[in-house]
Amino acid sequence: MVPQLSWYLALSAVLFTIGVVGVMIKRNVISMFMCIELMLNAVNLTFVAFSSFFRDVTGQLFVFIVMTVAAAEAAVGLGIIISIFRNRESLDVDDASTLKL
Amino acid sequence: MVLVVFVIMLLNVEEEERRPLRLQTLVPIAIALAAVFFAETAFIIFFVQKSPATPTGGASDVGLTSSIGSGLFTTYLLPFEITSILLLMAVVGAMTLARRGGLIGANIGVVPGYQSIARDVLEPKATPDLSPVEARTSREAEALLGVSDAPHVRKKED
Repeated sequence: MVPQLSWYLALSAVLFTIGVVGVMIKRNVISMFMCIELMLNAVNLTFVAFSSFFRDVTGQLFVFIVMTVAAAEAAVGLGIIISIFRNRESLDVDDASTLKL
Repeated sequence: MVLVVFVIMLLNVEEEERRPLRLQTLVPIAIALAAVFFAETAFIIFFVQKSPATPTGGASDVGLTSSIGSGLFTTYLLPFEITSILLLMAVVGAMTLARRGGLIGANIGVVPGYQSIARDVLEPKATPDLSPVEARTSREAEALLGVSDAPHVRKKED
């Protein structure tokens, strides 16, 4: 059976939801970071599925740009994580809540 | 992802202790929403088979390197260049963030890893003896020097 477009969209929705739930539940910075990457990749999957469905190359170009932004975000985010770990010696986001009211 | 693995190796994360789950009251609502969500997904997969068929016939140029490249360098040239600038800024920013900065004094910091530092460098009026301080982290250095209540030492407990 040839996979339909809706299957890709369902898989993408599942991946995105796992990412959102992970960001809201997890307290470890690296886990939250990987969940953000998961959300970005779910959106990428949607782009590629629609691009293949409509025979339009624009979606794949958008995926290129999204992946670039994800790489930049990974570099800066991991730099911030290293900096936090040096200062606080912990990866828990609850330990880095100085700005919280 | 490879970068994430490297950082996890670098930070030697120990086993996190189990703490009570926050937002305990939202768990039933979350379970109900998850059930609705999976029902929706199952509905899509099993009943919406009649999504419009992929147009067939004719050679498609989607996914070819040439079509992606021509799109990337003609129509979307400006986003392409902007992403190059973004990557450059990200590299510079990551290097700046990951550089070892000052923690104790204005000029000196004790970063994880054994190192010995002269006493008067860390605290100008600490003690008259001249034996160097050997510390692994900033907190150890503060404990050795007894300067944890000095105003310029960053508080870590707040």
